[in-house]
Amino acid sequence: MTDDTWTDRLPAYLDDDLSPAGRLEMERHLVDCADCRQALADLRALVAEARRLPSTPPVRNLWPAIEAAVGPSSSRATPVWRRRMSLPVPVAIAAGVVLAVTSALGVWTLMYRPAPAADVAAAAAVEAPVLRPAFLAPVPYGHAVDDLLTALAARRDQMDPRTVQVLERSLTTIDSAIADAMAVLAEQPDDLALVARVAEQRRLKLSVLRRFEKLSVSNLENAQ
Amino acid sequence: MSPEEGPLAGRTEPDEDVSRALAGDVGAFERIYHRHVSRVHSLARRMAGPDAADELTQDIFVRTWQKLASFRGEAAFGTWLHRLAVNVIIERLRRATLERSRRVDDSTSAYETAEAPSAAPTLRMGLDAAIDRLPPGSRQVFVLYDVEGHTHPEIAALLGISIGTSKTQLHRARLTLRRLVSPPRES
Repeated sequence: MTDDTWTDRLPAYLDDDLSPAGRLEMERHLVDCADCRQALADLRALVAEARRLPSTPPVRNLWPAIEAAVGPSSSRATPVWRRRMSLPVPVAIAAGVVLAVTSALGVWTLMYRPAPAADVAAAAAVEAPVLRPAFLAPVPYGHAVDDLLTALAARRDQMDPRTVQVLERSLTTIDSAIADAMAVLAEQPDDLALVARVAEQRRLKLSVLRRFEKLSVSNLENAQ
Repeated sequence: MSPEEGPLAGRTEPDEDVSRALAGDVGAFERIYHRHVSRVHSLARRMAGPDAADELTQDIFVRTWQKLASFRGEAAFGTWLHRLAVNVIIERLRRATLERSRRVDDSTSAYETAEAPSAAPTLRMGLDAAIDRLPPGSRQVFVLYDVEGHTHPEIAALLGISIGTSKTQLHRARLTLRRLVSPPRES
């Protein structure tokens, strides 16, 4: 047996994982092999140190972002869903992520164009994605989102990976806020404030997608 | 010594803070956060790497808030939170592995490759820095077993691997770490 083979069996020996015959063989070998005895001592010290590794706090304070996600202080009398849905938490998170994108990529402004009422009503239903050319306007919300996502997916490989990462994170945050609001809306369909919040989040999503789509086109043109 | 490391760490959470947080008191939850953030962040950093630790820590605490109602007090709160944290981290690592395997043609499982660093170090490296250099599979097993104290059956269930693979990964991790942190010796 080579030296490496003996060394490779030391972790199992340390954990008492060898067969009785294997253990006996190893112990006989350790009597004669100073290198293996040293290696075993090193492994024991390593395991002991691992068990004593200290916990250290993060460098930056993570609480503000967590607080933004869980919502402001409220009493037990406030229903859980309303606490989680209260403005401006979902919008603040999504807006915060979008603003982080803008500061990283340069100065840009997020402009809302209020969607027609028909689009908001149409957006309340789940739509099967149908591809339509994005330049035909106005198009229902679902179609516009699908077109933009398709375009961005096609250009993903040409985009800066960090941009892709920020975009995906932004969309995850917004989609999560929309899904939460829709779940509550299913039980409280007459809550007009909630309907408005869903519409607002969808406009935000559309706006984010349009901005990134324009960026991706301009990146493509610059690369050519 | 911080509260998370002292003899009471992971034992009894002040009942009042958990009850208040359950009732929606974010101030109480903030106290819970400060009590446990070091341990959670260190776990995330060692399992998933320093780049992912901050975001993972935030996700873990948000998930803790969302799942608070499922804490029944059968285990210490710190123990319950630790289990939740491990689950969130593993969930995230699995998603990341899945995404990587979609983009790469040769999608070799992370658990099947455990290559030692190519260059032998000449300086002694700290253990935390050495853990960062382990491949994902053996790193996760090492952190769960030797740092966090889980058993091989628990690790196998958490990571979706066999007990034998868990043991093999642990042994590889220890041998690799030994090469990284032990000073070179004359034969």
